[in-house]
Amino acid sequence: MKMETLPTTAETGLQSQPKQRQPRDWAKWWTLSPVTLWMTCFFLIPLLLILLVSFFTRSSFGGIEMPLTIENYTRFFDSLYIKILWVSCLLSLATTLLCLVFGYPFAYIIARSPQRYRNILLFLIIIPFWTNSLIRTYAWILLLRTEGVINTLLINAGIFEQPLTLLYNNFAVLVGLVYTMLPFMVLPLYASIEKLDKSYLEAAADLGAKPWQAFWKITFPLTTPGIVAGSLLVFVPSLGLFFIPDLMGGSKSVLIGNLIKNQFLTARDWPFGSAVSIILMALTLLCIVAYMRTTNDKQGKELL
Amino acid sequence: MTNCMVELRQITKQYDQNTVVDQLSLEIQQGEFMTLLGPSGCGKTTTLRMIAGFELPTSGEILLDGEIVQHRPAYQRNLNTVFQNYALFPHLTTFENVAFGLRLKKIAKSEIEKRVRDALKLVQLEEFSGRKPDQLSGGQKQRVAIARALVNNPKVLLLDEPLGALDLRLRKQMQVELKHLQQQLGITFIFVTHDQEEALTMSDRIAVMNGGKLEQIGTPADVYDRPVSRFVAEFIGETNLLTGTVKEIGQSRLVIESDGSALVAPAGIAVRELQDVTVAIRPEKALLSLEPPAAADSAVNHLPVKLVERIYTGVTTKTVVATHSGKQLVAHENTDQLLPVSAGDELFVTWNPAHSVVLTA
Amino acid sequence: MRLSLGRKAALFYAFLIYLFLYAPIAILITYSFNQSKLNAVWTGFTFDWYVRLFQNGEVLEAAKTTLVVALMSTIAATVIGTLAAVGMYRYKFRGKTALDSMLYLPLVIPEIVMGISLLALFSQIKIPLGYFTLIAAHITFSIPYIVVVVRARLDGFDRSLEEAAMDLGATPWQTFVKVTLPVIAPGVVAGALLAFTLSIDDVIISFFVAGPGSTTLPLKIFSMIKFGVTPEINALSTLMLIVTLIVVIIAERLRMNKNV
Repeated sequence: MKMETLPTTAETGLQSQPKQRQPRDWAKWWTLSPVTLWMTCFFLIPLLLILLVSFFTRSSFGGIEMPLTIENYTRFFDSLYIKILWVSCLLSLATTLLCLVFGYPFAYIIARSPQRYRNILLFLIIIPFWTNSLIRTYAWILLLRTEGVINTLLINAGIFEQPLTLLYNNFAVLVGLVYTMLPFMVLPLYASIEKLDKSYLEAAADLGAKPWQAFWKITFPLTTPGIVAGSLLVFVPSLGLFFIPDLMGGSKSVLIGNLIKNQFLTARDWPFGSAVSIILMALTLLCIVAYMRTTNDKQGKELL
Repeated sequence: MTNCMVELRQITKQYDQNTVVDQLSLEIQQGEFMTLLGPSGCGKTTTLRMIAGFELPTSGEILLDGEIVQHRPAYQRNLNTVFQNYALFPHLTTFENVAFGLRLKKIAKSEIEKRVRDALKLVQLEEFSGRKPDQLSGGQKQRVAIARALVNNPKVLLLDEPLGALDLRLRKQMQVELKHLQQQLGITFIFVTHDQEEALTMSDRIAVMNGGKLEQIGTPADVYDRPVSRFVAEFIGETNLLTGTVKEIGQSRLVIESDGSALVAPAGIAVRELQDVTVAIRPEKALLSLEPPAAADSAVNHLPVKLVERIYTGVTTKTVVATHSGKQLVAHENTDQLLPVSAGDELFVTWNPAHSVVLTA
Repeated sequence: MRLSLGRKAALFYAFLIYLFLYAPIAILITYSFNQSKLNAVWTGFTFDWYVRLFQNGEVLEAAKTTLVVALMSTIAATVIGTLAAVGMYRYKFRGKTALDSMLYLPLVIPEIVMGISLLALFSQIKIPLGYFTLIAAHITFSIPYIVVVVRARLDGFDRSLEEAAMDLGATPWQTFVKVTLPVIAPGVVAGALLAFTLSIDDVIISFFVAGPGSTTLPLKIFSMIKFGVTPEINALSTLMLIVTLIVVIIAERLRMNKNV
């Protein structure tokens, strides 16, 4: 990042002018250098650091030492770890699909609801978006656990004799992920459906399209940016939400996020943990590049 | 020139490789109403912004009251701007908007109070001092913007298409008001517009710009009656353009052959024989008649034409005719005295040679 | 009002989704007032769990940490983020795309990567985990959100307002303080409030950069849940939900009302 100001056009002009620094240049300096400095120190450098660490060898005391190696990466492609990645991806993908399937009609209904209710309906989606996902996960534990609300209701109603095992399996993890991530899918979907000009549908109807044809031929293609943005916003974070598998999954539910966490905190194998993080990061960037390719959203503006 | 208020010397502005203003030189006198006129993209707004201090010229000098100012930031130049969209501060009332500049200068409160009142009185908005911009109409916002600029007693007032957002009636009214205000205060106005009628109505002088260059500078009558180029002739008012070749260069007159006819024009423009030129005639100077002028009367230009159509516009009727080669010309007829001809009929266009304007560019 | 069958089905569907989103939270809040320690059956109303919460030294300590970290990081991130948004709105400069990506990337990469990379940084330069590391990390993830919110506000900002101020004699600094800042203030406040909620709710990044003496409330809840479901967690969660709700309501009102 080079932050010095551009040469003013006066300096590149044909006549040589006295080089005078414009006062605006200082304003430029003061507005942009803090953020550049901060994000470089606390975002860019740390990322580069783990990239670097991922090529070192683990020392016997849990630190890092020479020699440089790519062993951390080759090790990841062992069947055990690659299976974790595979399961994580499947689970995240399932989460994304479920969010999309349930979220799209929902977003559509809100976007097409009468104007006066729309803001309040939207606001009811925004609240869960901002509330603590840990607490929201916990709320589901209250519902699903053996002595939880659902089991108590079912047994008291005489439907089952024995409590069902609803918690500590991949199903529970999936419920937790869908519940946590649904607002992240609905908001971009809502945005793209809402700004869709209704006159397109009227034009389609005018030209003889039945409602479902109009949907498939007009609404759906025009809202793909929202679908892709929502999918990205669900898929990527759900790969890293380690506490949902931790709290709702069984001991077998080790996902990529948990793997990274464990390498840093339990196994103290920082080079390997870093390598897994870099792989996760690469996977994420791949998704973002794919996103930008499909939607032409160069700035990622649709994402927020 | 002792009382030159704003002087531009060879101003050039480039963005990347695009030259927006090209070697522009201009002198504006104290107390003058100068209009920069041209189509969008001609560099007029950029020129104004360089004078205001929002843009730095790539090369050249800007003098304000004798001082070189092009490197001085906007807030250190004693001139003020009325913006196209008014740029009233939405969080401040009318009074606070007008007082903004004075407060920055740390002027005593009582004096600010008095000067703001006076400025609002000048634009007839005394009763609106407590309102916020979004509670004002377009015309009122416009006046606040003018008061906000004038209250600082600037040496020069810059106006960037200030009437563009107003409807036609209000626009006409504000044109007159602005002109009166300028005469009353004696401040130099530099006015940017793309509306030639507005420029003709208000200005002392008009600088016509095209492609970053100055095409012509002169009084409204100069640019209207004696355009120096095809561009100026076409941009300002309606005009008929005939292409032709110089046949004869006389002491006091030129003869130009166009469409098989010999057209006479006043001499005084540098041309050589056989040069291709354009002859411009304003529609209101072109007359229609059923008969050609008497053969001896070589003082009148005439072209045989056919009537194409008539367009009623009120007092006058725009009559479109075509020469033998199919070139269409427009003449203005008095609606009450239309010639008894209909489409397809033959007739003549005539005009005084003095009204022929020969253009080489 | 008579509704068509399709319309009724749509409303019912929307209702089910809202139920899915809110029922667990509603149950959580309800049980925080339940006398029974076992949670599942309602045995009577009580404030006991809230009282116990305020007698729990560790929870109070965590609450203090959470508030200090949230306040400090919000203030710093708001200043840095607002300046950045204004700078990026005003100027073109070399490396703008790079800075843009550096501000968008934290919003899309998994938080865990940011958490461990900060942990790696702090341990490499031997900064002990604690208040400082928590605040620094929270500033880092808050800045991009503030930039996004403030820039959205600036999108509707008329550039000529700044020029008008300069034209009337305001220096760039005076222009910023007297014109730009008041006009974008609702966006700045909304951004700050969102950063505040992000900070008090953050689990993943705090998990890696908090030290033994600087546990935040979400981390406290995390460890409490690992030991088992208790009514105190319900009470604590309810309180945090309420705080978040209030802050988000204010922030969204500011964000949606473009004409303030």
